[in-house]
Order: sequence, then C-alpha cells, then structure tokens
Amino acid sequence: MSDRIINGLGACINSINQVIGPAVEKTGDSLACEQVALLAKYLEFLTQRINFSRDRTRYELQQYTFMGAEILSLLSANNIEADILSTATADAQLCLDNPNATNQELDEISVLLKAEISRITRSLRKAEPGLRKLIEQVVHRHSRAIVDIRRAWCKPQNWESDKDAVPELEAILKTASTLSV
Amino acid sequence: MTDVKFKQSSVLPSPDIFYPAEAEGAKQWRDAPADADVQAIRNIYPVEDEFDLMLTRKMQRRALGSYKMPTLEEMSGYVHAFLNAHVKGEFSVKDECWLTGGASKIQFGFTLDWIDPERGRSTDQLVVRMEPAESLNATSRRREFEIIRAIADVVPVPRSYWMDPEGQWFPEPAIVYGFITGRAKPSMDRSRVSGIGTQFSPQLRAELGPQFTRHLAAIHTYDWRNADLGSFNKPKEGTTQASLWQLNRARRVWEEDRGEDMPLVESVANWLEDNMPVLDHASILHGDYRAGNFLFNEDEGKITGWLDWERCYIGDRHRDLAWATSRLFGSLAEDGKTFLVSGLVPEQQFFDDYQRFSGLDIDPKRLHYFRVLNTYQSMVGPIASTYRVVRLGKSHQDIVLVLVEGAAYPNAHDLLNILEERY
Repeated sequence: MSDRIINGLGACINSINQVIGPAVEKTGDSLACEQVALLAKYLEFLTQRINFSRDRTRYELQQYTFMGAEILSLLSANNIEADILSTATADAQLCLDNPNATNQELDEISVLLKAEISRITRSLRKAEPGLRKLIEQVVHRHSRAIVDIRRAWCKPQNWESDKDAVPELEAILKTASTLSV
Repeated sequence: MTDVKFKQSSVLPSPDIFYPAEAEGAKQWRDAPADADVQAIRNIYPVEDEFDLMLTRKMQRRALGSYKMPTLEEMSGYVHAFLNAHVKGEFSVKDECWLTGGASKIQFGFTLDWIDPERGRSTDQLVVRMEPAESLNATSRRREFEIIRAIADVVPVPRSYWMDPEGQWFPEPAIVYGFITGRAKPSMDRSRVSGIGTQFSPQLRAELGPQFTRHLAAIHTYDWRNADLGSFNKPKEGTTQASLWQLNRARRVWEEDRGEDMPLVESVANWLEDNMPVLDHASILHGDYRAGNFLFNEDEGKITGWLDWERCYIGDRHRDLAWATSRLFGSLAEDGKTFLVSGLVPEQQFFDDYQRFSGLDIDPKRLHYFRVLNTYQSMVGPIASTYRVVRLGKSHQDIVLVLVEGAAYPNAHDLLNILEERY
C-alpha cells in the first residue's frame, strides 16, 4: 500500500509488544498491562480490516437499499405513501452507482436510509397486522446479511465458539454486486 | 433536539418517539441532550425508580466532558478521606493498586488494618468498585450494596462494608467490599474473554456444575420480602410490569445512546412489547448469572463467591435462566455436540436440576421470551452504549468497550434464529 498505513500500524504494534508492553509489565500495574495488550490487539485488527472498510460500508448500504426498496413496494401496494423512504432509497442507489461517491456521502445517505426504515419499523405496532408481518420479514431477511458481515468483520476478535460457522469477510464481499462499481 | 429531518409518512401512524441517529461527523444531540429530550424519553419508557435515577444522571452529566481517571495517589486520597469518615479509631492502608476484570467499573484494591467493631483488630483486603463517568451499563452501586448484604446467607458473596452512593467522598458513586480469592476461569482454559465460551475440565464440571445450578435456585427462591432492599421496585405478580420495566430500560438506553439506527432492533422491540409474559413468581435475579461472574477454588472445586450484581432486579426467573443458557457463555463438551451451560452442565440437566432444587417450573414459552429480551439487551449495550461512551471518552476502559461491540453480532445472529422458533 503506497500510503504506508499498514507499515505504520505494524510499527505501532511492534513498539507496543516489544518496548512499551514489557516496560509497563515491570510496573505491576495490571490495568495498564491489560490495556496495552488490548491496544496491540485492536491495532492488529485494524491492520486486517482497514482495506475493507469502504467495501463493507457499500455492502451494508446495498442491503439497506434492498430493504428500503422492498418495503417501499409493500407500502405502495397498500396505497401508503412513503416519500422520505422513496427519496432515501433512490439517493442511496445513486450513491452506490457512483464510483466517485465519497465516504462521507456514503455515510450520510446510509444514516438517512437506516433512520427512515427504522422509524417505519417502530411504527408497525400500530399498523395493519398483515402488512406489519410482511415488512418485518423483509427487515429480518436483509438484517441477516448485515449481521453476517458484521460477524465476519469481527471474526479476528474471536467472539464465537464455533469459528468455522462465522462467514469470511472476503467471501461475503466477493459475492456482493457492490464490488463491481 | 427539535430539528428532526424526517416528515411523517402520510398514512402509517407515527411512533410515540423516535430520535434518528446522526452522521458520525455531525453534531449529535445525544452528546449534549437538552432536558426536554431527556424528559420525553423518560415519559415514554418508564423504568424502575433506581434505574431512572441512574439513566437520568447519565444524561444530565453527558455534556460535562471526557473522563479523567484519578491517579493512584488521588484514589488513595479518596480512600483515606472515605475511611476517616467511616472507620472509628486508627487504621492503616497498604497494597493499593488498580484491579482488572469486567468491562465497566473501576476497581481499586487495598489492604486495611483497622479495628472492626464486630471482630476487633482486623486486616482485610478490600475493593473499591466505582463508576467511571459513563460505562457500558448505568447501574446502581446502592442496589449492588443492598443485594450483596441481603443475600450473604444464601450464596457466597463478598462482604459489603460501606457505600458512597452519591459520590460524596469518591469522584463517582462507589461501594467498598471484601476481596474474595479464587479464579474466574480455569487455569488451563484458552477461552477468549472471561465468561465467554469457558472450557472447564470434566472434573471441575462435576464439582462446580451442581453448585452453579443450586445457587441459582437458592437466589430465585430467596424470600426477599423482608430484606432491606429499598432501591428495588417490587413488581406485581399476575401482571406484565416486571417485563415492561426491563424492556423499557433497554429501549430507553437505545434511544439515549445509539450512534446508528438498526431496523432489526426496532422490529424486536415491537415483538417484545407484544409478547410480554405475566409474572407468576417474583424472584431476586442476579442479572448476569454465568461463568466469569463467580470465583472458584480450583483445588477444592468450590465456588467462593458470586460477583457483578449490578444488573440485579426482582422479576421473572426465566430471565436468569435464559441468560445463563446463552450460547455465548457456554461451550461444547468433548463430543462436539452437547451444549454445556456456562461450560458446566448439559442444558437439559441444568433445567431438570434447577426445577428439582427450586421447586419452580420452567415454562418454555417464557424462556423463549427472555431469550429474545436478553439478546435484544445484549445488542443495545454493545452497539449503542459503547459507541457513545467511546465517542465522548467517558470511561477508563474505552479500549475495552471498542472491542465489546463485537459481542453484539453473535447475539444478533442468535436473535434471528430464536425469532424463527415458534411458540
């Protein structure tokens, strides 16, 4: 990587593990020792994940765009207007289709879209039960994909007993159409 | 927070409250909430009185800036000032040090040489457990102090000495309790974090497993009605009050802390409100009953003390049962198939023994409900609270909380699977 970020992170990790950590250990400060180890651990995690950050953002936005479009279709079929969701979903797709979209633009549209779907979902307790069930099924189906990429993202942190059951980040991203943009 | 960017959908009814999350780089209202917004959330989501105090205090102090951890010398000064006010006669303090463990509270150890009114001249190892400015859970030291005192004859717990519930002597609310010796996980265990997927040897399982189950039964059948538990609300049996308080607590935290919106969380909250079970028997609940929260003597195979009572409340036993049997806290036996509750007891045996020890039955439908509630709560803290605490630099363990977020997604995965089960 030409910007040498990975190199820099590696140097930080080496410094913590070889110089700072042993020095802190000699002080007997258990809290400091614990946090030094966690610092190195987090930097190692960052080293493994930093190059995938934008792809993950795009992948999640793509899933929320699918979710928004399906909910929009259900609302429309029930003659329920959803102007904000319609605009947010369309804007999100435009952003995904634009290879020059900045990270900030991706972030901002993602925030708007997730908020509007969430607001609609929260309101469903007062909605017609049949429609509610259909929308919640859409939410759950696409949430599974989002949860899975986050499990994959955190896989190096070793949270799950059955590590083989956790999907690989690269595999998820490879199959995602968003990577082609 | 009055500038909500979203107009209401024309036909779908509006939710009672909804403050959208804001972009990472934006000025976020949750970083410095107005009193009116704090009050609006309180009104929509009523919780137990003590938790209301804790959560409101959190929000009122949120804009005060990041946390500055006291130095060892400063903490020593607080300890001496506190002891001057609470210990009669001469005393001396030594062996002061920071302690590790957990992901939320500050723990400071010291040895106190003093004249105990009950035992005379004594030398005790003590622990100060104190809030940072904000943490993973806004919980009550008063409540922790009360329950440890109340339940000391029921299960092994540290001796609770004193409390500073308002932070009069310490910079934040604190309790002082006795140090208990023991291990949080086996010496040979290679699990990731204490209490997550702990692996006990067959021998330790045989020794500790029955104690694990028996202690839970004892806690749940303890007659709390005459105990000094002034900071606990007592839910009415035959109502859904206890479940609603807990659901509201999680919903309130989500509304107060989150940095992103998640439709899944909203959908689950709806389900939880629709399916609240009626309380049949009000029990004391530990709230975080699992491996990692008890210490044990590895040579004797004996549990020496139950810690971390901060999530304790009076409610439905199925909440603890569902928590204890969470996939995250358990592990598989050598056959690679048998799920061991907290790495200790096969699940069905755990349920059978519990019912035998307690005389209380286990209702699969209510167990299912609390599995959903627990996983919901286990998403709210790691996703919402860790974000806010770290963003504002509010704790002494921000680096721990950064990593804790990762615990949310196995829970979310379980949640989606649990919701597919039919009851």
